[in-house]
Order: sequence, then structure tokens, then C-alpha cells
Amino acid sequence: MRIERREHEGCLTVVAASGEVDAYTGPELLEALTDSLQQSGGPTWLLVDLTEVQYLDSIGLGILVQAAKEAAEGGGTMAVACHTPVVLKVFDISGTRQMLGVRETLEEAAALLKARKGGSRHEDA
Amino acid sequence: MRTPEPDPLLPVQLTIPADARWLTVVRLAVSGVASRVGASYEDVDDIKVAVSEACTNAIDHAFAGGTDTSPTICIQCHPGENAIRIEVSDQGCGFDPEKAPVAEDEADAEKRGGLGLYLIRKLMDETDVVSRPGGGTKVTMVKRFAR
Repeated sequence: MRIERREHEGCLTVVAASGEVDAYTGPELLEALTDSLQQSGGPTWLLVDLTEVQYLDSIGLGILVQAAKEAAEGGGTMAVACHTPVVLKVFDISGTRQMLGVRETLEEAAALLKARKGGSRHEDA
Repeated sequence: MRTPEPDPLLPVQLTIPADARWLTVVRLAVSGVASRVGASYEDVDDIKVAVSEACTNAIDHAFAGGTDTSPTICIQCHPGENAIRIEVSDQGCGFDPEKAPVAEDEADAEKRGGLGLYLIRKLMDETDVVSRPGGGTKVTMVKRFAR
């Protein structure tokens, strides 16, 4: 598995993974997500790019759920971009697709985060 | 005289060290066997996830605190005409199934643990877990092919 961290349009934190997320590779993803949440120093608008992930199991799912909860606790939120059928099925069966903000493209996931970020600012005002 | 052809439905067996780095090999192997006997892409995906989850459970729980210095997990694939039966077994510490958490739905699975077994039951047509304390665990899964 490869992991890359970057910013999207200067306002979203992106963690992009490729390959397979399982009990062996999962800790690497957990570390990247945890670091991203801790380094922002405030609410994190976290976009997890899984468009190049071919496999994700219950371990990976647990890591994503944990990251989404931590993002929410910090006042931010998380969305996931993924279009791999076997991974989408895991989200569906586990009932986590909505909770994780799963969208099939990076653009849709980014739009979801921006909408939530805009809503948050509106609420703050 | 021609050599008789081997039975195409003979079981295929793989034994791995109880180490998560071998999970990808298990997925490759069971995907190959399921494809060979006619499973659809979707069925292959379901089988791959279910078998990998069963192996992950064994790696995480079967040998905790044990003295076995080279624990292994055995994966046996039994191809059928319209189905495949796969057994994942270990000789680890086992558990009492009556005391193990059994998730009834996805929220329960997340709350109580056991999401792996929950996924296995959702993805496969039949699932049976036989285990006893000190006697190892065998998870038997059947997938009938959608044609």
C-alpha cells in the first residue's frame, strides 16, 4: 500500500491510499489519518482518497470509522472517495456508507466536504 | 495407455504462517480457485473478503498468549459443481462460541466487535464456526454461484 498526503484547493486535507488495506497495511493508514487530524491544529476537513484502493476489510473500516469520529470531535468532518465495487460493498453491508460520507469520485467527495464546511461557517456566524 | 485425468473437484489447500503479511496471498489464491471453478466477479469478491476476514480473526485471536512458535492457518477450498466450500482452520486457543459476541446487525457489530464474522455471514450463503477452548477453530463457508 502507498499513502500520499496533500492539500486540495488549499482548504481540504487529503490522505490518498493505493493498494490493499488489511490487518497488515492498515496501521500505516491509521498513522497517516491520525497525523493529519493532529497536525491541523483545529477542525480538519479530511478527504480520504481510496480511488486507487482495490481492497479494504473490517480492519480498514474500523480505522475509517475511528478517523471520522475524531474529525467530528474536532469540529471538522471526513469524506471518502471510492469506486471499487468490493470496497463499496463492505461499506454498504456494514451500514457505514453514509456515516463516512462515501462518494464515488474525488470531486464529489470534495464537494461534500466543502458544503459541510460552508454549512459549519454559516452555523458559526 | 492414457494417464487418467485428476478429478477437477479435488480440494485445494494452502497453509500460511499466522501473520497478516500473508493475507494478500490468501486472497490471491482463493480468488484464483473460485474463478477456476466458475464463480462470477462478484462472487469472487465476496469469497475473497470472507476468507480474508476469517484468516484475520485467526491471526488476531487464535494464538494470543500461546506458546506455539510457528502458528499456521490452513485454508482448504472444496470446489463443487455450482458452489465452493472453504474451510479456514487453526490449532490455536479456540473459544467458547456461546460466550463469543455475535453481532445481529451492523450497528451491533461495530459496538460489540465481531465485524469480521458479521461480514462473512452477510457475504457467504452458509457459515459455520466450530471452536472449543484449547482445541482450535474451524470456520466453514459456502458460496453458491449466481449464474
